[in-house]
Amino acid sequence: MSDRDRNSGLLGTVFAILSGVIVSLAVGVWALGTPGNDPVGAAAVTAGTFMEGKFRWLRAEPENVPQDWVEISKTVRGGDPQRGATLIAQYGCGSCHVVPGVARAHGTVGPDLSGFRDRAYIGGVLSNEPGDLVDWLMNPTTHAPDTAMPDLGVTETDARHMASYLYTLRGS
Amino acid sequence: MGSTLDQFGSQTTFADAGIGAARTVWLTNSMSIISLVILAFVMLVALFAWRSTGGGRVWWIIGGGIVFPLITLSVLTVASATTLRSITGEAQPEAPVIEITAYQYWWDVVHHSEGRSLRDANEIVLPLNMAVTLQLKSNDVIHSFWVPSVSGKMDMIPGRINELTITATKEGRFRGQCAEFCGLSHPLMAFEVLVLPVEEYAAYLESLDEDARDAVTPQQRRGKEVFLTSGCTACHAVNGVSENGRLGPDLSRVGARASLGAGMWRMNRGNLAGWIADVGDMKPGAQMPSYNDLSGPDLRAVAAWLESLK
Amino acid sequence: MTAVDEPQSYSGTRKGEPDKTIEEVWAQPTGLRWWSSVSHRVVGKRFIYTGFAFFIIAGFLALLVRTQLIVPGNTFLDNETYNQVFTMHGTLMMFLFAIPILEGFAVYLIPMMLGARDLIFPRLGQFGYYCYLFGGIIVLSSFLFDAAPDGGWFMYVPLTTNAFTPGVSADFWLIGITFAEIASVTAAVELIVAILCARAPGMSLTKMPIFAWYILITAFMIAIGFPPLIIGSILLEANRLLGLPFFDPTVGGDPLLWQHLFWLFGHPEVYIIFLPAAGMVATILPTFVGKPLFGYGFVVAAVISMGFISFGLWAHHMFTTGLPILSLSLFSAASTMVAVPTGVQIFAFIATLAQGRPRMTTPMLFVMGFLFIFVLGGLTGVMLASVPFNWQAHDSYFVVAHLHYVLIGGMVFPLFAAFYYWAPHITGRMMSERLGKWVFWLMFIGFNATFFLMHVTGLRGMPRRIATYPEGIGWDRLNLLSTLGSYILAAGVALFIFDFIRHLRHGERAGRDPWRAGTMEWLYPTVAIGFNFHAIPPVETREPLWNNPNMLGKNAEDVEGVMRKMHDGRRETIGCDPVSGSPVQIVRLPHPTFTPMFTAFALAVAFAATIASAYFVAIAGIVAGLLGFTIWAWEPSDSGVTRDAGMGYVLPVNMIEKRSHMHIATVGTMLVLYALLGSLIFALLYLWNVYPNFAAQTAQPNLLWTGLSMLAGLVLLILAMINRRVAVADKIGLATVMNLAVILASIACTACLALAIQRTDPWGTALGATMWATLGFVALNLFITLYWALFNAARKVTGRVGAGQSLPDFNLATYAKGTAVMVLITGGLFLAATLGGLS
Repeated sequence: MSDRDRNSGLLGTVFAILSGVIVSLAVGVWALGTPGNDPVGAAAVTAGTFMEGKFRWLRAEPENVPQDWVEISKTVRGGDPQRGATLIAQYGCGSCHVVPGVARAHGTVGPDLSGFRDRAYIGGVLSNEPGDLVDWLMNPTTHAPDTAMPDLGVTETDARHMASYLYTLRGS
Repeated sequence: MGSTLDQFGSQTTFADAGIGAARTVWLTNSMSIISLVILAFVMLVALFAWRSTGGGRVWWIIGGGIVFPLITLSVLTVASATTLRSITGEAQPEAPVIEITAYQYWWDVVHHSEGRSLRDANEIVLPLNMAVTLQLKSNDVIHSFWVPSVSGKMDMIPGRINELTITATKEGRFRGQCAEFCGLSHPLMAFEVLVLPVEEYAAYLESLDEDARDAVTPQQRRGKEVFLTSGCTACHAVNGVSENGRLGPDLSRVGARASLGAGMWRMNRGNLAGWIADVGDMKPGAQMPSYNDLSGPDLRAVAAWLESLK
Repeated sequence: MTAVDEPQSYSGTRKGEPDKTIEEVWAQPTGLRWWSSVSHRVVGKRFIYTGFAFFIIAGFLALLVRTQLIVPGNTFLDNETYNQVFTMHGTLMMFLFAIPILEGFAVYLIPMMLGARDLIFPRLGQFGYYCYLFGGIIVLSSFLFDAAPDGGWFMYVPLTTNAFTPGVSADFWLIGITFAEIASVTAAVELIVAILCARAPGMSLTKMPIFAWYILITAFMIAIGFPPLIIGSILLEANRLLGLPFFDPTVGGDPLLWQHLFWLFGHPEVYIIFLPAAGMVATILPTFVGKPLFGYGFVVAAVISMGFISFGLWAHHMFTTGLPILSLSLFSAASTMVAVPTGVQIFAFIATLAQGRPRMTTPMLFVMGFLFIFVLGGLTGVMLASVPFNWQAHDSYFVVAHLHYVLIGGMVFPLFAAFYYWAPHITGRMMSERLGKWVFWLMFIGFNATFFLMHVTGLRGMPRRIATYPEGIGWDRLNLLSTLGSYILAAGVALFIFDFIRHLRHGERAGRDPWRAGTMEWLYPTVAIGFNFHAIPPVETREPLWNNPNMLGKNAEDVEGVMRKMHDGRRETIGCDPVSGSPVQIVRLPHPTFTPMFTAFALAVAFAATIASAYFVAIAGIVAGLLGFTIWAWEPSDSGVTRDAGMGYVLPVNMIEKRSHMHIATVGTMLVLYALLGSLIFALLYLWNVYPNFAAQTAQPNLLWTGLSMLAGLVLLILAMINRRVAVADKIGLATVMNLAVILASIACTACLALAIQRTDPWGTALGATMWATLGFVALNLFITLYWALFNAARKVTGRVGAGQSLPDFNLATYAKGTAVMVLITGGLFLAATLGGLS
C-alpha cells in the first residue's frame, strides 16, 4: 500500500467519522427536543406541503368535479382533528373506549370507536351527524338517561375538536 | 396544577428538585464527559497505533492500563464517596417520617405527624426544603421507590424497612415510578410527588385528619350510597364514611389527586367511571374486581361522588 | 525404559481394531449413528450452531420488545406477553446463547490449538451438548404450553414464588436452565482438564496460545461461578414444590438471599462471557497485524486477576437494596478496580496494533468495533460503580444501554469476528469480504443508534422492563430512534445469515492457513482431517506456524511428531504434565457411543417430568440416568501398559498418578462441588446473621449425633486414604474390602448427620430448611461415594480389573476424601450451632 493510498484512506476515515458525528448530532438534537419544539419536523411539513402543491399541479384534475356530499356531511365546523385527539386523551375517553390513534385508549367498557365515521347511530339514540355528535359529547345523559357514560363537562369548542377527530376514523 | 402526565421532563434525573438529584447531576455530567473524552482518547491512540509500525511499548500498558485508571478511579471513588455522604448525611432525628408501603400495583402513604398516622395513597406530598425520612416497605413483592427529579431510588423489600432521607428543594409536581420489576402491571405503577411550602404542607396534613367532604348533590348522595352498599368499603377507606378498608388505596381525598390508578391516568369523572367498570382492562393483575354490574346511572353517581372528594 | 513394539498382553483392556488405519479408527459415524459422534469438532460445531439458533430466536424477541416500545402506550403486545418476551430474551441470550456458543468455540478450537487429537473427555462433551439441547428445548417449549416464564431473567423472589407466579412458568425456567447449566459446568471441567493435561510435547503453560489462557480462566470461573445459581435455583424450586421457606421473611428467610446467590453467579457471568470473546480478539488481532500479541505476560496476569476480582463485586447489582453505607463504599471501590485488568488488556491490544501494518479485513473491522463499543461500555460500567449515580441509573435504561455495550461490544462483535475468521476452518470456504463490511457497518451503526440513546432515555427517568410508557414526558423520540436502530442491527445479522448460507456453496475455497495465522489449528489444509494430527508436533513457541518453518514448509501429514504409530487400533492422544507440557502418558479416547445421549435424555425426562409433577416418571428417569452413567463407566480399564509414542517417548497408557487427566478431573469436580457447598454455607451463615431471632427459634442439632457424624467423617477420610494405598499397591482383594468399608462409613455419615438435625423442622424456619438442604447436598455426595465404591467393588469381584488398573480406586479415594471433609465441615457447622447460639 502506498503512502498516497494510506493518506487517502485516512482522509476517508476522517470524513466518514465527521459525517457520522454530524448525522448523530442532528438526530440527537431532534431526539432530545421537547415535543412542541420540532424544527426538523416543521421543515419536513413545509417541504411536504410544497411538494404536494407541485404534485397537485402536475395531476391537474378538472375544476368542476362533483361535490362529495358525504364528505361535507361529516365535516365539523371549527373542529381541529389533531387538537381533538389530544382532548380525547385528556378527558379519559380511552378508559372506556377503543380510540384508534390515541395512546393507551383501549377500554372495553363502552363501544369500540374504530370506524366511527361509518356508524349509523350514536349511543343507540342519536343519528350520527356532526351536530348530534357534538351535543352527545357535551351531555350524553340528557339523550340517554340510563347510559353509563358520564357528562364530562366538555365545552362546545372541545366537543367540536373531538367530533372532528372521531370523523377521521373510517371503517376498513 | 395539572398532572405530571405528558409534562415534559417531569421524571428526569437531570433536575434539581431535591438534594439527592441535584448533587448527583454534576457527577452524572462530569462522568459522562470524562467517559467520552477517554473514549475519544483511546480511539485516537488506537488510530495512531494502527498507522504506526514502530511497535508497542510496555509503558503504554502500564500507563494506560494501570496508572491512569488507578488515578482516575481514586478521584472518582473520593468524589462519589463525598457525594454519597453529602446525600445521606442529611438524616435528622426530628425529620418528619413518611411510611410508604408498596402493593401490587399502588402505594400506601402514611404521614407520621404529632403521634398521628395520617393515611393517603399514590400521591406523596413533601414539605419544601425540609429533610424527610421515608420508611419504605413492601406488602408483597419487591418494588423500588424512585422520583428521579428529587432523589435516587431505594428498593422496597418484604420483611425489611429501608430508610431514605430526601429533601425536596423545588415546589411543584414530579413523577415517580416503581423501578423494580414487580409483575404484570409493573409499567402502570407510578405516583406523583407534590412539593408544597411548609405551611401548605401542614394544612395538607390537617386535611388528612378531617372527614371527607360531604355529598352535596343528589347524584353524589346516590354515589355514596352505592359505594357503601356495593362492597367498596371492604378494601377502601373514606374518612368519616367508612374507615376500615385497608387493602386498597385510601379514597378520602381521591378527587384532589391529579391522577388516578397510581399516577397513570388523569383524574376525572370519565376515567373514574372507566376504572370502576373495567379495572381489569386498565390495570391487568390489579386486585380490584371490575364493577361492571352497576347500572349506568349508579356508575356515574359513584364516579361523581369520588370526584367530589377533595 | 525400553521401547516396546509388540503390545503387551494384559487382561481386560479393550483390544481395539489393530488392523485398521488411523483414518478408519477415527472415522465419523454416518447415517443415524452420526448422532453418536463424540468428536470435539462435531460437538463444538453443534454447540455453535445451536447457540446461534438461540441467538436468532432471542434476537427476534428483542425486536418484538423494541417494536412494542416504538410509540408510547403501544398495544402491539399486552403486558403479559411483553413480560414473557423480555424474560425469554434475557434468558436465552445469557444462558443458551452466550455461554454455550463460546464453549462451543473452545471445544472446537482448544484441542487443535494445543495439539490434541480430541477433547480429553469426548463422551462428556456429547453429554454436555445433549443436556444443553434438551434444557434449551424444555425452556423454549414453555411457549407451546402458554407458560413462558415472565419473572425476568433474574427471577427475583418473592415475585417468582407460588404466591405471585402460580402455574409452571417459573418451573420451566428453573428446571430447564439448571439442566442447561449442567452442560456448562461439565464443559468447564472438561476444558480445564483438556488444557492442563493434553498439550503438544514441550508446550508449557507460558507457551500456550493466549486463547487457551482465556478459556482456562473462564472455565475455572464457570466451575466456581455457576454453583451459586444452581443452588439458588434448587432452593427456589424446593420452595415452589415443597414449600420450604428459604425466602420467606415471616419465618426468617430473606428475599435478598436469592439476590446474593444470583449475583454471586451473575457478576462473574459477565466476565465469563467477556473473557473467551476477548481471547478471540487476542487471537485474531496478531494474525492481521502479522506480529505476536504484545504483552502476553501482562494479558495473562490481567485475565487471572480479573477472574479473582469478578467474584468480589456482586453487590454492585444490589446498591439500592439498602446495604449499609460502609459496604456500599467498599463494593463501589472494588467494582471500579476491575477497570485495571480490562485497561491492561485493551492497551495490550492497542500496542499489538502498533507492531506492524494491520490488514483491514472483516474480522479486523469487528475487532475495532469491539474496541470502540466495549471501551464505552466499560466506562459506563465505572460510572455505575459510583453509588449516588447508581441510585439514579440502576434499573433504568441507562443500565440497559450499559449492559448491551458490554455484552454486544464485548462478546457479540468478537464473536462475529470469530465467525468470519474461523468460517474457512469449519466450512473450507471464505465468507464474502464485501458483504462482511456491509454486515459490520449495519451492525455497528444499528447498534449505536439503538443503545447510545438509551443512556439518555434512562437518565431521563425511564425504568427498565416496562411494556408501555406515557407519552410526552420525554421518552417518545428516543425510543422511536432506538427501535429504528434495532431494525438496522437486525438487518446486519440477517445479511450475515444470508452470507453464511451463500458461502457454503459459492464461497471461494480457502487454502491452507488462509489468514496467515500463527496458531496450530491452521496447520492442516481446510477442512482438516477428523483427528487433527497424524503426528503431534513438538511446540516451542506461541506461534508455531510462524516460527517453525517445518510446519507450513511441508505437507501437514508429514510434520514430525509423537504418536504417529498407532499400536492398538485405538483412538489416543498425548497427555502432558500440566505445567511443563512434557509428555507423561498416552490418553486413550473413547469411540462413538450413544450412552451419553441416552443418559442426558433420561435426565431430561426426569427434569421435564418434575415440571409436569409426574414424579414416578421423574424417578424412573433418574434411575435410567444412573444406569446410563454405570454403563458408560463399566468399560474395561486401559491402564497398566506402556507404549512407544515415538520421538523417544515410551509412556504409560492412562497412568495412575496425581497428574492423570482422570484425577485432575476428579479434583476439578470437587472444586464445583465445594462451590456448591460453599453457596449453601453462605446461605446458612447469611440467614443466621440477618435474622438471629429466628435462628434462636430453630431447634439446635443434637450434640451426640453431631459428634458421631464428625467421627464418622474422620473414619471415612482415613478409609479413603487406606483404600488408595491398597489400590495403588495392586492388592485387588484388599481394595475390594476397603471399598466396602467406604460404603459403610458413607452410610454412617449420612445417618449421623440426619439424626443430628432430626428435631429441626425444615418448614418451621428458613434456617432449618437450609440446614436440611445442606444435609441433602452432603448426603448426595455420600451417596455418590457409596455408589462409586460399590461400582469399583463390583468390577473387581467380576474380575474386570487387572494388574496396574487401580485408577478408579485412586480417583474414588480423592472423591471420598473430599466428601469426608464436607461431612467434617457440616458437622463443624452443626457443632457451632449447638454450642454457639441456636437454642
